[in-house]
Order: sequence, then structure tokens, then C-alpha cells
Amino acid sequence: MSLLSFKIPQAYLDLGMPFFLALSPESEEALKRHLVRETRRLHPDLLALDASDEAREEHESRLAALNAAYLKLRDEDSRLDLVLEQIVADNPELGSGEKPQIPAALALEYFELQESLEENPGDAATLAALESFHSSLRIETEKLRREVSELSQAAACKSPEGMEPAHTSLPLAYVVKLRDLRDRQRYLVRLRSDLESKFQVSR
Amino acid sequence: MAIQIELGGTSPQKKAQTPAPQGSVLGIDLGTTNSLVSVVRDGKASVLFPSHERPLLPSVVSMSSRGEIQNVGDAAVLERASRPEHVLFSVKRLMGRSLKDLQAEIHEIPYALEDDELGAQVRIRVGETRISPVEVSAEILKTLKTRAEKVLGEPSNRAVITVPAYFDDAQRSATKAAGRLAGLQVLRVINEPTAAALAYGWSNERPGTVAIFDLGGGTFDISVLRIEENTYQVLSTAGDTHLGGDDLDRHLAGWILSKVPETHPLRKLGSSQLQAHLLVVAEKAKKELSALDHAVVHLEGFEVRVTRAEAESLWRPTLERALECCRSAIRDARLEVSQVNDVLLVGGSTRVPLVKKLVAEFFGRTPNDTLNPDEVVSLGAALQGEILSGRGEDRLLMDVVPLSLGLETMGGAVTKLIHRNSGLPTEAREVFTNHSPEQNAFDLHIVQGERELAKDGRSLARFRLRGLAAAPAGFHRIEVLFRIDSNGILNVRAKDLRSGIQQEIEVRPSFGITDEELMSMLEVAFEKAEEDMAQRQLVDLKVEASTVIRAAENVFKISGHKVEATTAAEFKARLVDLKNASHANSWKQLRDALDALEECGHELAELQVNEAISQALKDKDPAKV
Repeated sequence: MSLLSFKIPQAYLDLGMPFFLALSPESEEALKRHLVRETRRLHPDLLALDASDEAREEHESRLAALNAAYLKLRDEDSRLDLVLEQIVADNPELGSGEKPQIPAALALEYFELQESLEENPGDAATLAALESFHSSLRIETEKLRREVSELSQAAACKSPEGMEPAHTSLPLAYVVKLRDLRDRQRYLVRLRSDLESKFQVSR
Repeated sequence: MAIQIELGGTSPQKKAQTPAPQGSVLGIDLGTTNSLVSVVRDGKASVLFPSHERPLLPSVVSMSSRGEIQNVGDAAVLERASRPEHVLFSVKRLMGRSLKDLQAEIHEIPYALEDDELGAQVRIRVGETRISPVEVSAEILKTLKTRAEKVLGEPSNRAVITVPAYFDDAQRSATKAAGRLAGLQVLRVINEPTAAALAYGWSNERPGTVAIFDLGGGTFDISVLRIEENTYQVLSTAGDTHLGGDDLDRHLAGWILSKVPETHPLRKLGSSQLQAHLLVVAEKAKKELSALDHAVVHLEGFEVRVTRAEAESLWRPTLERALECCRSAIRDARLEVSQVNDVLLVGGSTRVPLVKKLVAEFFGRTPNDTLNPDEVVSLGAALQGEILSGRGEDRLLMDVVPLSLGLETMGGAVTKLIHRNSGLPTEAREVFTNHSPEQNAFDLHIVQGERELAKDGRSLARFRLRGLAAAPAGFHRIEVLFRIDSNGILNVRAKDLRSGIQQEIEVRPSFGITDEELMSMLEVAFEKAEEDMAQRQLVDLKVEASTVIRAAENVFKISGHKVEATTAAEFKARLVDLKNASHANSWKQLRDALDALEECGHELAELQVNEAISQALKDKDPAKV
């Protein structure tokens, strides 16, 4: 099985924790504890009053990076995007991937809906169809989210022999699948927010 | 060539000289309706107020018809009925706001407003005078400072001031400016609900997740905090800067008015007077309804009866908006409502039974109303002052960014750089490149708020990165670092990734008062303060002089003939000098005259005392002396 090696994104280094892709409830709790512990260590308010300006600036700057990293890494979507972006940057041969495909039934429904929206805007039946499409989109995104989540839980990151420091690796097949799922998920989310902004569909 | 950052509409911050710290750090709750000041003594926070007054100082300032500050607090409230156009209240709603910002509510504000020259901060028109909300707030802060100094018996010039969590940068900066104008070094501006949480957890560590529901006179805030071993971590905060007890009063006032017949004499009053009057009776009825199931409003020969149920149906839609904020705060904290261990009620308006009921329903638990909802915020501010002056015994407040920060992009959309509820300090980086060889600058527009379009958000700063050398499209790589420091101040640094050259600037919002204006206002305030003080001392000394003159004339009549003629003549001359000086207006001259009389009057005074004693001895049985 071929492995893709990539540099561990800076956010992990700012956070000061080993690389992880998925967060279990326990590791999420550990992440929160880590944040509090590190904040207590770095927060300028806990520095001695006579600390130098340089020391203050140093603490302030490290804590700012830590807080920004924490937000990126605690959120599953932004964490995956960050890692995928790094993998692509470090492995240009991966290319940009295929155009995300949405399920055929959903695509058909979308085109029909667009047609009737053009013909009978404001029609009760059209609006009902819009609502129903919107909710199937929601169900589909949720399904994808679960799949992505399960896949990332399954990822076992390896640091094979001879790899550069601060690098890790993931199986190629796995990365391709993860990226496809995440692209589809993003596409659906965009479609949904597009609909919401155009037609004021209730959430 | 080095890149340069150029700010539009704002100026880089000049490091202001910080005066030597004096006394304890004051914790100030500058409220819409009431304000108060606290301080920590022997590890315990308490509210400071003169013994004959109330702890709460109404945030009300009255002005004389000549446009001078007349009264602050209760005395100003008394003037509200007779001369409403000279009495300023709820100015907190106007802090850091322009006419455009206030459009939606302008009809609710009973005094005339106009924009300043920059169109960034409204000014209030009182007769011929214009006064800014910052200046009005500074008067309230000055009064609080004086109150504290009186009780403490020593000067105090440092403070932590609280603001609603949802205040944006302009509102926070306006608050800081008011502090400086009042002669205070504002160590930090902290969020009201956070301050309340600090006071709640300080003496009685209760680890867990707490929601602070803060409904004040004019603003609503909800914050969710995790409290554990000396750490108070804000998880999320949300709110509405235009939701509070005042709104309840207004709804009730409108309803009362609808019951007043067209022929009633009240209808003949001018609209601002009528509104002021109705608001007063509505507020009274609201308070009564907290304890009773109905209230009767008396309006000159006419009575309106309002039941609690009627009032509650008027108030419910407003309060539902508060619950909507709660929902969003819980979501941002990534929690379920059931994970909240305690709900703290803060702000005077949480005394309204419907508020308690709705909060209990929403959180599925009886809210905690054991703390004094009026005082807890100011106590917390004093405790944060304790932390900042190094006496916090290792306690730490982890605060968050209240509003997202974004960059305006093509087409007026906003890209979020820093999301609301990010821990403080925090930062974001963005790399920019040139789109054509001719492009030698970038314009950046930083917007605050959650809205998608730049025009709906609050413009924080515009600046320009310039000085880029001509190069093929996509050649330049300029990394811009946006950092919000632990004081909530935005720093922008731009770095040319190709050359490594770095530029830095501190961004300050243009809330209508530039640093220069503030400095000149400060100078005027200090001059005025000296003038006021001198005037006051002169008056005091004249009172003293008149007492001394009366006593001296008396002494001279009785004992003048018993001393040597030269002494008597000298005394008489000095007395005449004093009389003259007491009619003039020089403090120095009067003081000198008093001292001179006192000096030559020793002999006379002794004589008189001795005589008084011997007289007393004559009258009384010597055995008893």
C-alpha cells in the first residue's frame, strides 16, 4: 500500500500536540484540558508584573498562535481541510481530484426543481418541493459527515523509517476517498446555503 | 522597496503617558440605567458609596441652561420631570454610535442628536450646547471616582470598566475614552457577564459550566463559562445591545398611552415630555408587577389598571429575542442546554418574574438569583483589577473575541479572519499577491460583525499596503498578520515574504474622537477641574473668614483694651485687611490675611481663654473642677 508523506501542518506545532486526525470524546476532552493548561502557562496576565516587554510579547504571540490553532483543530471540517491542503501541497502528483459528484437522484431532483422555480415561482407546490429538496440535502450532508468522520477515525498515521522530522503519512487510497467525501460534502453545503440565501428556506 | 502600511481614517496609537498608579483598582459597572464602583479590600470586593447615599448611582446627568454639567445621579433624576430636555439618560446606548447606526431607534431617543464632523459619533444637542456621550459618561465616571476616593480616603486613578459582551470595538473605545476623560487609567475593559462570573466563582469555587443571563436596563448579554481550579474560561458569548428593561418600560408606556382618552390633559403635553412622564409611570408599574399581580397607574384624574398577564404579553416577544441569543451562545460553546450546571441572573431586569420563568423553562432549571444582580458586575470588575495588579492569587480569566473580524473582498462580501468566540489573544494570517504588474498597493478594509456584507458590518479600519515594486502578476507574496491582543486591541503586521521586510501598526477604530481631540478634551477637563477646585476652595475659605471676623470682633470688644495699645492697633489693622480680602476674589490674599490675623491675635486669644476659664471657675464650685 502506497503511503503519502506530508509535513504536519503548523497548527499542530502551535498547539503543541502530536498529530491526530480524528477526535474521540476522550481526546476532545484532552484537547480542552491542554488548552487550559497551556493558556495558564502563557497568559500575560499571569506573568510577573515586572516581566520585560519582550517576555510579554513572546507569551502573547505564542498564546495567540495556540488559540488560533485550537479553533482550527478542534473543528472537524477545518481540521480535515487543513490536512488535505497540506497533503496536496506536499504531493503535487495527487492533482486537483475529480469534480465532486452528488447522488444522481439528488441531481435530478435539483434540475427539476430549478425548472419549476423558473416556471412557477412562488407556487405552493414548488415551494413545498423546495423545502423537501432542502431537507434531503441536509440528510445527505449529514450522511457524508458521518462517513468522513468514520473514515478519519480509522486513519492510523504512521511515521515510517527514514521520514523527515515533523512529517507523517497516510495511505494514498484513504486520502483519495477522504478528499472525495469532503469535496462532495462541501459542494452540498454550498448548494444548501445558496438555496437558503435565495429562497429563505426555513432551516 | 519596503512595503508600507497607511491607515485611512485612523491614526496609529501614540503611547500615552501613564500616570503613576494610585490606590486600589476601581471596578466600575458603567450601566445604561445605573452605575456603581467597587474595590477589593483584604481580598474581599465591596461596593463603595457615601454613607448617606444609595449604592447605585443613576446614570443620569443634568445640564444647566448655559450648557454646563449641573447634577449627576439622583439629583439629576429629580430634574427629569420638570426639565426633560436638559436631563441626559441612557447615553450608553449612544456610545460609539453614529446617526446611521441609530436610525432604527432614533424615535425612542428623547433628545436631539447630530453627527460629529467625522460622522462617526453622535452628539447630543442641549440648548445651544453639544455634548458627546463620551463626555456625559466621563461625568458619571468622575462622580464614581470621587465617591470611591471619599470612602477610601485616598486618590485612585486606575480602573477596570465593564461593557456588554456584545459591544463592538467602537463602543469599547468610546468607553475607554470616557475613562481617560475622567482621569482614570483604564487597565482593561471587560465583559459584564464575565465580570459577574468572576464574582460568582471567586470566593466559592464551584467547578462546572455556568451560563450568565445578564438583562440590564438597555442591553442583554449571555455568556457561557467553564469554571475550574482558578480558571474562568469563557466558552461563548452572545447578546443584543438593544434589549433591556428600558424596552419593557417603553412597551408598557405605549400600552398605557393607548388607554388614555384623547381628551385627557396629558395629551396636550409635548411628545418628549409626555414620553418622559409615561416612562416614569411605566417603570414604576413594572416594579410593582414584580411583586403584585396588577398595578394601577395614576395619571392626573385618570387611572389605568394593568395586570401582570397583560404586561407579560407585551413583554414576551422582546424577551423571546433574549432566548434566541441563549440558543446561539449554547451552540457556539458546543454544548447542549442540559450540560449547563447553573444559570446566574444578573442585571436589575432579571427581577421581572416573566424573565425568571422564561429562563427556567429554557434551561430546564431554576436560575440562581442569590447574588445581588445590581452589584455583581462591578464586584467582578474590581476582582479583575486585583488580578491585573498581581494580587489575583493565580486566578485567570480566559476571555473571547465577542464579534468576528473580517476582510472586505471583491464585491463587498466579507471573509472572516477571526471568528467570534475565539480565545484571546488570537491571530489570523492571510497572504496577498498582486494581480497585475502595475498593482503596487493593496487596500484592506477590516469589518467587525457577523454579517455577510461589508456594508452591514461595522467598519473597523481601512488601510493600504503600498510601495510594492512592479513585478509580474502573482509575484508578490505579502503575508498580513491580524492579531487581537489580550486587551482586545487589533494589531496588523504585514510582511513581504520575499524580502522578509516587516511593517506593523496598531489599529484603532474611528469612533468619532481622535487621539488629538481626546487629548485636547482632557486638557480642557483638567483646566476646568483646577478652576472648579480653586472656586470651591475660595468659597470654603470665605466661609471660614466670615466666622473668624465675627469671632475676632467679639474678642476685640471684650479684651482689646486689656492688651498693649500697639498690639491692639496691629490686630485692628489685620482685621480690616481680612475684611477687605474676604470681599476680593483671591484665595491667596485671603489665606494670608487670615494667617496674619491669627498670628497677632495669639495674645488676645490667650487672654480671652484665660478669662473664660477664670469666669467659669468663679461660677462653679472649685472642688468640682
